[in-house]
Amino acid sequence: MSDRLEYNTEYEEINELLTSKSGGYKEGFFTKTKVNTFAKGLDEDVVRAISSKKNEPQWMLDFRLKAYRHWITLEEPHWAKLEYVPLDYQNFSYYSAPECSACSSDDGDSQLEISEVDEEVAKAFASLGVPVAGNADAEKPNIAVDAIFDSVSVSTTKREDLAELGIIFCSFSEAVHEYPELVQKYIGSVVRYDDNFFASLNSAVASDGTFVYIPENVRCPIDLSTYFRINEAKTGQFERTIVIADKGSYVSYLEGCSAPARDAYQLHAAVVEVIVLDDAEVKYSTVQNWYPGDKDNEGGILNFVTKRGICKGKNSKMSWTQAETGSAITWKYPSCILFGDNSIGEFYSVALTNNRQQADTGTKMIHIGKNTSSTIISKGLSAGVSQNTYRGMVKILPTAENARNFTQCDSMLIGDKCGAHTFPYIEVENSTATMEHEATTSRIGDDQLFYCKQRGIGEEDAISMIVNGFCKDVFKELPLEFAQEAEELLAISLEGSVG
Amino acid sequence: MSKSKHNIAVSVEDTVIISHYASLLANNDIVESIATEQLRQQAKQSLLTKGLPTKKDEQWQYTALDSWKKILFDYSQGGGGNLQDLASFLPSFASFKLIFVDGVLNQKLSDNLTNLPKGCKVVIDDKNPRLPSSQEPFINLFTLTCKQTIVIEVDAKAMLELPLHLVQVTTQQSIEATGLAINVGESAQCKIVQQLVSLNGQAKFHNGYAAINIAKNALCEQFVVQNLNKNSFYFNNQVINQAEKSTFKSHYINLGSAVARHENIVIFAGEYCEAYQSSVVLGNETQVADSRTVTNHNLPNCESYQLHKFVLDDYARGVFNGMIYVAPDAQKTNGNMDNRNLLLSNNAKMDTKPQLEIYADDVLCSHGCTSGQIDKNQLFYCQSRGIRKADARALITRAFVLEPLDSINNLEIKQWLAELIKQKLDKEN
Amino acid sequence: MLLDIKNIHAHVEGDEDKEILKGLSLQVNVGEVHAIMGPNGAGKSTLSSVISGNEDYEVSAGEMTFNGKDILEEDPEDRARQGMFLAFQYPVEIPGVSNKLFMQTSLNAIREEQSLPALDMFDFDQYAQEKMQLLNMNKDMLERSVNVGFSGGEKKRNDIFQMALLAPKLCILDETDSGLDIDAMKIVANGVNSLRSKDRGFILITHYQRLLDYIKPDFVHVLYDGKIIKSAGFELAHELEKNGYDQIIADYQAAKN
Repeated sequence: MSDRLEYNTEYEEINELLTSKSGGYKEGFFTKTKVNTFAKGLDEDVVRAISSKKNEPQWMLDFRLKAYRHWITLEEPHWAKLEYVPLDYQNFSYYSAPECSACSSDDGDSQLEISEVDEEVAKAFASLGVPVAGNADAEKPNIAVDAIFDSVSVSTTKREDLAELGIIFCSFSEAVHEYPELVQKYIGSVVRYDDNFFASLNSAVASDGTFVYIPENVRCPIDLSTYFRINEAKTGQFERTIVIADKGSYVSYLEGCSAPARDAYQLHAAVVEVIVLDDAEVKYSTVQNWYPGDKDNEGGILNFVTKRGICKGKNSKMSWTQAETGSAITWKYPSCILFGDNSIGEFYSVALTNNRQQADTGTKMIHIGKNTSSTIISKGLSAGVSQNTYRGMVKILPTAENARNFTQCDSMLIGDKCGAHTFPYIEVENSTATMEHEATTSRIGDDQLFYCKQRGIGEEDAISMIVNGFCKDVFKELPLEFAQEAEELLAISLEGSVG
Repeated sequence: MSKSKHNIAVSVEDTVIISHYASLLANNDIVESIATEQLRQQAKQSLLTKGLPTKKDEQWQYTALDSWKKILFDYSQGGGGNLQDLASFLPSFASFKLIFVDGVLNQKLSDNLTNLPKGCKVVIDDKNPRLPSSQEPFINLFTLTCKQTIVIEVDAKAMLELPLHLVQVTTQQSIEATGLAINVGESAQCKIVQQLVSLNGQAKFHNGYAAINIAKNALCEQFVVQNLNKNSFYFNNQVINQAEKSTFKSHYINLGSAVARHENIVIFAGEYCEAYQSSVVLGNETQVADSRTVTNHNLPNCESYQLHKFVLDDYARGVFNGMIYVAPDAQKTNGNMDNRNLLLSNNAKMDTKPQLEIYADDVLCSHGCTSGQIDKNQLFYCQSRGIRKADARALITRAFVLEPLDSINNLEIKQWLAELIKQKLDKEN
Repeated sequence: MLLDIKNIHAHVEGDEDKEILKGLSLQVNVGEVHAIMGPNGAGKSTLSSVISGNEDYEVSAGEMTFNGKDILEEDPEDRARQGMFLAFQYPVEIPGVSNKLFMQTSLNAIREEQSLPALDMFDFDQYAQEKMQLLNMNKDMLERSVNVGFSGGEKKRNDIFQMALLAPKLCILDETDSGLDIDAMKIVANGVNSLRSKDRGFILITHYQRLLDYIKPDFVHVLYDGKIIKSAGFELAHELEKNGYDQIIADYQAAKN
């Protein structure tokens, strides 16, 4: 690998400037640390360079190259109800890592030592309330955390405790080295390298991510969590996460994210694959709070994510819960392939857009097995001049006897300059299936506001109360702490949208 | 990155089909106006550049055209078949009838155009057919092949009690592309029944286009009864323009055709408009039935209501595609769209896209849709009261499918439609 | 004086031609219960809206003081915080918001005004339980969304329960008896009677006299044509029950001409 591909920089403290610019986004600080970043641009050399940086085995490089060669034949999709100029993929850097001698993943066989987490990075996570090795939160009893900083995982807590149960919880890069059979077996098995434009891109340049394996009949006693942070300017984050729940197991997995306030768009194109075997259950919760950009959403995160779970075994259950409040653009459809008989898919979503944010999000429920059932509850909130679209597919294949689907998607408009759209695709190919879909669009009623005010509750509180009530069916699916965070985020994201 | 994908070459098959339809009128002796000729040329060019729709087009992904592409339809040479059977297809209620056989007005069977109800004019214009310009492939095919427009003018304040009844009869394998232009004057009211029947097994390619303009305060109620034989193909595009405080009611009854596709585009061009749209779609064997609506709430204070019901048996495929669009500032909009489907066989398929696109906040919009079989509990309840299973199924199916007719106030028409639907259901069971 | 309304004129917001209250005056002292009766369309519900500050109506002339303070320019929440309570004719549904959260927020807003500390979840629970017994309410009611899925009677009872919780100075009951069966009405009346005190005033707006059999008012006023056209003691309610509004309206028309 040639030297011209990377450079090291030490950044000045520009935190204050950026936070003042970003206004309400409290995660908008920037961490000053020495980083090792690839020069902008993407070609086959860069793909090879990423792989070699991570010391990857040949099969992983082959996977990347296959994806890259497919990706260059594709065109950026624009079918979603999102307006953005086509991105210049040569203008992003595809690798960035804090430079400290023993940060994980660089060499792939990292054993984390507390002192090895870069001090500035550790500070950054601490101020976000994210436990990493060495900070006080690391001892929080009910959660294990994989913290990812730009392209690399910097710390994974509670691994030893989990290892005793046979649970694997580590960074993706590490899994490539430590558990190559598992990774090889499952990578690309749910989201193929050629699934779509952004999935191909991710497969080619995947940075880091989390790898989870829950062995047979093990109920993971604590929530597993990954916290993503994009720090570097003009970098993309392309994490790859794989969660495997073996027969009869259970895991609740949480994902949180943030990025500093920047004035240039940052790209996030993740792929998540979840495999659920017989009688197993995975609960996957996301609170997405990527930087949405300034008032005009300049410089916000462009969030193009492919998330898919397969209920491979009978009686398996896959549940997605998401609270989407950040990003300038969100393109995301966490989906369930209900392959096993009696399997269950769930999708609970709150998507809030404000200012000029755009979200085109929803789910796909593909019913293949008998007696499969799915539930979709989607709550869209649009404020400011934002556009919020629910796009969802329910497909019941001829084999899916007695399949059931219930869909409820409600939109609430806050202000008269925003848009709320509902685009469901419903394909029923088995008559024993029952499908119900309901959608409503409304705003906060004047009578509701007056009722609250007459009880002494001020307008802002009344609105926040009504909005949270609107989202309650989804928030109750989130783990408690996350639900609180989501409610707070909602309040912050709505600030200034009503007057 | 390769850009070639945008310019997929039109297939040879498509070129042959398009050229065929372009040639139908080219051999005519009629001298057409320059404007007409230009529109036909534009339509041909658009078709030749884009080709005919395939499953890759989002608007056509569920409507298979393979069987339609296999036959190149010509205009009927006239003559007509045995018309004695026609009487049994016609309703008994009083109406002003215009009967077209294979696209040609049959004056013997029709009421005399000089005896039209007061306040109403009908012209069959074959000199200046009204041709739309569009990007839609079947509208372009219409523009390419349309021979005549039935122009219906209803004077201001005229209250037509007698329904105008257009019957389009097929006796020969042929294409029919007759346009319909309906202008309802201020504060006028009218009912228009359009009935399509086949007297034998000859295939028809019906490709209709209707432009309906409803002036201030006026009301237009339209019934389309499509009962062509199962070798036929039915396409119909309707564009409805409503001035303030006007009302449009449309009832589409889909009983026949191998492939049928009916589309309403409703445009509210004034405030306080109301539109009611309903469909009853019965499909069996390998029928494909597609009913779609686009309702444009461009201005405030308008209301739209829709109920579309499909009953599908055997290998039938149903498609419902509805879009309620609410423009910025179209406050106090009330938009409601319901699609309910009953699947009677394991091989029937239903594809539904009820969409909302909303840019105003003070609105009440909703859509609902369900697909499923007959409720087993309902069946059992009937059986436990001594009703045979087959009868119980028929009872429940009928009750299900007749609901959209509830909004029809004219009892005679309502009964006639209910009877047609029942007959079709009974025949199939 | 608790509430003093002088010569109030009010119309529907944005529609000045549609004057509904046409010079109405009313005085309510603490410890008093006033019944406002009148035929449909007299302006009864407008009166409750105007007193509580609903922005759907605009006051074009007149004065209104609450506890001696001019409140015409005040927002509804500020009037509520100063001790005004309206039991709605049609209590509003708020999906997803539990009664508990709603009332805790409301109570704490009012306590804040009185410089009292906010009640936490546990204190509130205890406080609420006491009041619930008063109205014979199911315990699960607190967990349910505000008025969602409640029957008509339950909604009215819920409003009276809120009244008991907030302990307001002035209670306005807008057609609280409409749509209630006799048992529900008794429960509501019991609630109101137990809240009667020398520190509190009531305005009962009603079309029928039947609620007044359970809550005996001190004063009865007849509202017609946007004005109070007759005021008297409780006996007036019985007179109205027997003779209807016709005679009183006829007398008023005669006097007017």
